[in-house]
Amino acid sequence: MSLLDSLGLSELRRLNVRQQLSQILNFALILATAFMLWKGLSIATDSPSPIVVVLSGSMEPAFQRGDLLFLWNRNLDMNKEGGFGGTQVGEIVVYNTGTAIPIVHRVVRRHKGETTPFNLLTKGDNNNADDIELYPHGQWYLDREKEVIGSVVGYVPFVGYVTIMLSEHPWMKTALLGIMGLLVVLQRE
Amino acid sequence: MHSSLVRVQNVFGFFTSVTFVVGALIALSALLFPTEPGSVNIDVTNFRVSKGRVRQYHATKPHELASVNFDLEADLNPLFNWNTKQVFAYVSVSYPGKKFSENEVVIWDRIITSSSKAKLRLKNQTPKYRIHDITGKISARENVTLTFHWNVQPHVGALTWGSAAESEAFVLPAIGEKKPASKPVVKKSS
Repeated sequence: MSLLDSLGLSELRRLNVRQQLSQILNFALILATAFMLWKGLSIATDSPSPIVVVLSGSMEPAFQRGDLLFLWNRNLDMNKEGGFGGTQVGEIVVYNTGTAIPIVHRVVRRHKGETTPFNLLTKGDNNNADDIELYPHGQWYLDREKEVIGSVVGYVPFVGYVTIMLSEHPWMKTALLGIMGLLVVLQRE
Repeated sequence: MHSSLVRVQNVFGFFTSVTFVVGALIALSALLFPTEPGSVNIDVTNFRVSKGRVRQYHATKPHELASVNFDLEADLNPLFNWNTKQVFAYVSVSYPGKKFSENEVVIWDRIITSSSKAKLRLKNQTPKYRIHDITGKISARENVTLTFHWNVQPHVGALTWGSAAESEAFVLPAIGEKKPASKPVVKKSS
């Protein structure tokens, strides 16, 4: 008990079990709501990861590290109004070829046939060479259906930088979660 | 109730909501006033197909590479409004094919970050990237067209794309054959 006092958490003692349980329930509700919103957006955009944070400078000056990108994966033709022709050159796609982090680059070539996969070649605006070196060994093109998780349609600068800080300094993640949990439990309403 | 923590929290909360609302207003206002560039003109001046080894393709035999020179005149000044961060201007070549019926390849691009550099006037511009087809063969390809596109990158909000000025359809020459700039072979698309 003296430990709680020295931490300034003496309020915990005054809450009864019933109140504490309802606070925990509240916390779970917040987590569940966030999860539902994320999954709902995922269904609406048909993308496993509808919002991504830019991690590298390969698309500068368009995107800097920490910028937030909104993706759309319903294979709309972004270049033509109301078209459904699929991804075009000049679109910026996010792809994942089994590497640890997804990559955000611009489409510079597309080759599409009736019976073939929809092949794309990508390149970062800030890079000199195209992305073949980034694809798995022996692969020259991306498969639109299998490897691309969405095209960039919306942009908000800088907001995602907090996630870069959290992933580069793991102790911040623990601290933040701890503080949030304590605040929710200690709130008296 | 009025501890400094609460005050800091309130100030931060107010700051984020104001930033969010201002950002949303900027993004919406830019969508309400769509922009179109001034006159755009594009023309093929010269083209050539050669054989060469492409570094990345670990190829045992040389691949065919096509190179298309072009004239371009475009005024992208009107695309710059209060929410334009950059304009990505690019020229693409599209052509049909047997196995791959739709092909489009970017041959030139430029990042334009200010309206003072938004007037493009290119004469017999050599392409930044040569065309390498997925099948490895590109010579004597018919119904090839050049298109000029742009992508407007906002400070905040939605990205927009547009295209204009498709060139007349032409036929890429066979290997080694070089067509004079003045007489591109024009083939009408059916």
